[in-house]
Amino acid sequence: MANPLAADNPISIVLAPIVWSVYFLFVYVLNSVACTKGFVGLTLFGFGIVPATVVIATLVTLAIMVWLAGLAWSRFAPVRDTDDHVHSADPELARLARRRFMALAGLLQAGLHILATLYVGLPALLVPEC
Amino acid sequence: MTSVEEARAYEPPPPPPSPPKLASVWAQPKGWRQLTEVNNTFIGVLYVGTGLMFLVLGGILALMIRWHLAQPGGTLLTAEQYNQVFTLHGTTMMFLFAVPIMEASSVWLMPLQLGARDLPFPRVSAYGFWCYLFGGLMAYSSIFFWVAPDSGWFLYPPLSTEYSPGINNDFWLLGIGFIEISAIAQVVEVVVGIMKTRAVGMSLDRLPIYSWYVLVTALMIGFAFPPLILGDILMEIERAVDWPFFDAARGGDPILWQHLFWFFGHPEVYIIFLPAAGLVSTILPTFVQRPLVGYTWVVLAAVATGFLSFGLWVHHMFTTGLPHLSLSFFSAASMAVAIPSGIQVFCWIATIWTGRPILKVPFLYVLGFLFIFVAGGLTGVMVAAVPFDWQAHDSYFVVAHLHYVLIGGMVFPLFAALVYYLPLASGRMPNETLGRWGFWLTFIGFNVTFFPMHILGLKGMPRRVYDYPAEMGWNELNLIASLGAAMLAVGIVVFFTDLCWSWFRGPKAKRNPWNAGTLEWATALPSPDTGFRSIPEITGHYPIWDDPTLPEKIDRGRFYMPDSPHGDRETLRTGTVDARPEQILVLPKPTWLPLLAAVATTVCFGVAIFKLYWTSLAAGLVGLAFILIWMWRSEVRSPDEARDIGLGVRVPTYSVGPRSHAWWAMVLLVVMDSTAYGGLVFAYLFIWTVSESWPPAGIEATLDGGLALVTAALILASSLPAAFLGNADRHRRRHLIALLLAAMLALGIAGGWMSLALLWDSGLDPKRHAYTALVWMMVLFPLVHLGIGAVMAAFTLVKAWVDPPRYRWSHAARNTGLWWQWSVAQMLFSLAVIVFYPDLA
Ligand code: HEM
Ligand SMILES: [Cu+2]
Repeated sequence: MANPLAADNPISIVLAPIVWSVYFLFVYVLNSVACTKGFVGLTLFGFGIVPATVVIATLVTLAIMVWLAGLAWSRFAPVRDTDDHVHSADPELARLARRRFMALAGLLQAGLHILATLYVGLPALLVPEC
Repeated sequence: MTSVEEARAYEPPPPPPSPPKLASVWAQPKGWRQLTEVNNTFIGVLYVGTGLMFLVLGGILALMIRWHLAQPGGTLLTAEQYNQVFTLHGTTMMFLFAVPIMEASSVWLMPLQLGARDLPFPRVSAYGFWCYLFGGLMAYSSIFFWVAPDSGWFLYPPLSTEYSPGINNDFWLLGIGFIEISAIAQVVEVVVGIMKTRAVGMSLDRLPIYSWYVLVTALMIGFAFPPLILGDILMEIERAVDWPFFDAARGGDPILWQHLFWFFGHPEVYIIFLPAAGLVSTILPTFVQRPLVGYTWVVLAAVATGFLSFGLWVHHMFTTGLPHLSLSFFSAASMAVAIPSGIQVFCWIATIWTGRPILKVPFLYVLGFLFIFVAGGLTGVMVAAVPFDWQAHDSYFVVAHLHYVLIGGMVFPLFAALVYYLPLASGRMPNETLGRWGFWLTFIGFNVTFFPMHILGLKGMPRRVYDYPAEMGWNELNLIASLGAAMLAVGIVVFFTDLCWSWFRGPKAKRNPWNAGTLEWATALPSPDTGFRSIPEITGHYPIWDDPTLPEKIDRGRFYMPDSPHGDRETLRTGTVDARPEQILVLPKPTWLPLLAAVATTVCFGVAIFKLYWTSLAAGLVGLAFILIWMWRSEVRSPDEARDIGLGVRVPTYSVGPRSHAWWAMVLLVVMDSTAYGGLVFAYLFIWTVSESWPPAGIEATLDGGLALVTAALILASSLPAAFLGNADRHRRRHLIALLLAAMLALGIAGGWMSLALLWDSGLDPKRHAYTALVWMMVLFPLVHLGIGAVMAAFTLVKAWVDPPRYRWSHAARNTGLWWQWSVAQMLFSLAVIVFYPDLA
């Protein structure tokens, strides 16, 4: 398989949403199973097992997304002024515009999903599990 | 002068006639043989037309509802009939109108907008279209005998199982299930089309914005429909042979259906809305004569909505007693999905703000959409707030909200597009006066109908009631809503009158009449059967605004593939990211096969409603035979063949592996299928979570671990030859492929047999409990997949034997290998889950 992180791989645009989906499914399944199978009472480092795990999962997810955002930024910064080349008939210039688009798209996805992750993760500190 | 103004001032000379060969190979067959046409542009028109027909049919039911409810004590319908009418109204609108017409629009528009002569699998779209037409009519016709589905459009059990023994809901399950399959066929077509058949230079960052939306939507359908199809299958099995998946008395759970349904049902709203937003993003720039503001941001919004909206499936189940924290996860997803919606609205408004609006009819509909969408979005936020939902749930407030979102969000953009693209399809202009009348009647009628329903809901009127007491204070508002519905209906009739009249009698349109920038408007009007005279090389998001002389250059055959010297229907396959020419795809010519296969499929599903299972099986086999014949004729090009496409470029007509469209189609199928299987695993886990102990009380764990291991070993061994299938075509000898296939089949059949023995041996009776039923399903599902793999293997074997040159069977062999390995993975996973479950009790 081609490297999903490669700058010219369209998958790189959707990595952040994919990570978010996995994260979301994980916390949802975790909480449902904990509530129905009755191990909500367990604790981890003195916290309820569910909030503790959700917080860890949230931090891991955020770390991955920040890293993805950093990667996208490092690709975006050198070509940020090449927007207009999207009209260019010269393949070299057009390539710059394409790189800008892919990097910016990846960056925006990472940013938005960092927010979405926070929305999902933070209530775990406040809301009772079941 | 800006380039947009240049484009407006420029008038290309009339197009020279197409070269005779090109024209004749793309010419439509005449008379009855028109039914054999598979070209997407042709099928697309029928497809959109069929969608509109179902809008009218669903609308008639809506009018019956409003007529009946206009005053208390309505006598038009009995309670039982009322249930059927509103269920069929919802079902028709959602499954037979909204989703298909959006797919239809993309099938019609996509080739022109991408600069392709046709999409890569024309027969698949044709088959999907015919299935939709026949299946839709079949499902709808149930109302004529008053045996229509009657449990609401989401068919909750036990209402739909125990309390509804008639065939009503079988119409839903089989009719709609069948249409979902046709929807999935279109997914393959448009996704591979967008990835592979674009104009040269239309790199990913220059993809028309509508294509992004269609791509996202198609993938969403691919993920959302399979679990629903799985749910349909489970419920149909429960109804037909009494395996109690949803029956609470035997350990099943009706909530399971709700999960499977809403995992589809919420994304469904976006599946309907996103392509409509794509149309808005395409039409709006034309009527303000400037590019869309924030292309990358809008792409972001479309893609992110696709993902986030899946995180909302449970928000329709707020009242079913889910854990608190789980609910907060879903509220979080609702909040998150509002961000991309906001981004889109912002980009649209910014585009209007900085442009020079031209108030033609399509633009009126776009403005109407924006207005309603913003208002509907606000009520949506209210419904999403958990405590509010508890009160408004199942009241008329929900009905009002639903229609604001669906009609505002989808019907208005659709109407905008119908008027906008009329000249492209028919070569004639719509009538402004009629159009304006139609718009205002529709817009005002719509608000008069649905606004009062918000108040009715807050005043406590529940939805789905067939009558209401006169003293509740609901009379005036109901009457107003009904009068509004009449006005809305008149508006829609005026709108259709304009469309039909202008299609035949409207003034002739000049080239690019709205001065749009997107590629589809570069063709002569109406768009000729050949599509573009030559396949252009483009720049930017608005190729015509970038180069106003583009239409003329295309007409003169200055670009790629200006003729069809070999007498084939061809289109260009370009690179997924950079859109450089890579291959000529030789496309099928008109054929009866898709229509015949669709007829057989319809009979297969149709007679199953009446429990004529043998007839159904026979029809299914006939359909399969047609499909195999069609497959047999699919691979014919030699790898050594290359053709000139003009401008000094020469490309092959053949490719295998990840570059080929066949490989992509297979991978897509496997991915979609994996979500169906995922749904099954979810069902198993769900029943596990709601059971006190596992296996549930009173049932012994009798699955034999040793037998399971032998089964797993055999199945795993069969994947070894399957893994080599991908490269078998490197060797020119057919013996090798025969050997591999035979080994795979032998091991697979042995393993499959053992898996059945495992079930028999265990003595687990599938009718006894949801657990036992699911154990059976977990094995049967992969087993059916292996069975399909066996048919594919047999097909490949025969083909390689009868027709030895390897390029005639290498796609078949590779795809068989892929499919087989995927089926093996399922079986191994299933065995592991059912035999080695964790005992957390
Ligand atoms: C043409 C104008 C329309 C009118 C006057 C109308 C009217 C209604 C009414 C009054 C109900 C509530 C029935 C009840 O709860 O007792 C209803 C339900 C519904 N409508 Fe419409 N509708 C129209 C168009 C549409 C469209 C275009 C769509 C979808 C794209 C749609 C989708 C639905 C759905 C999904 C339901 C829920 C059915 C159920 O409860 O199972 N409607 N409609
Ligand atoms: Cu929803």
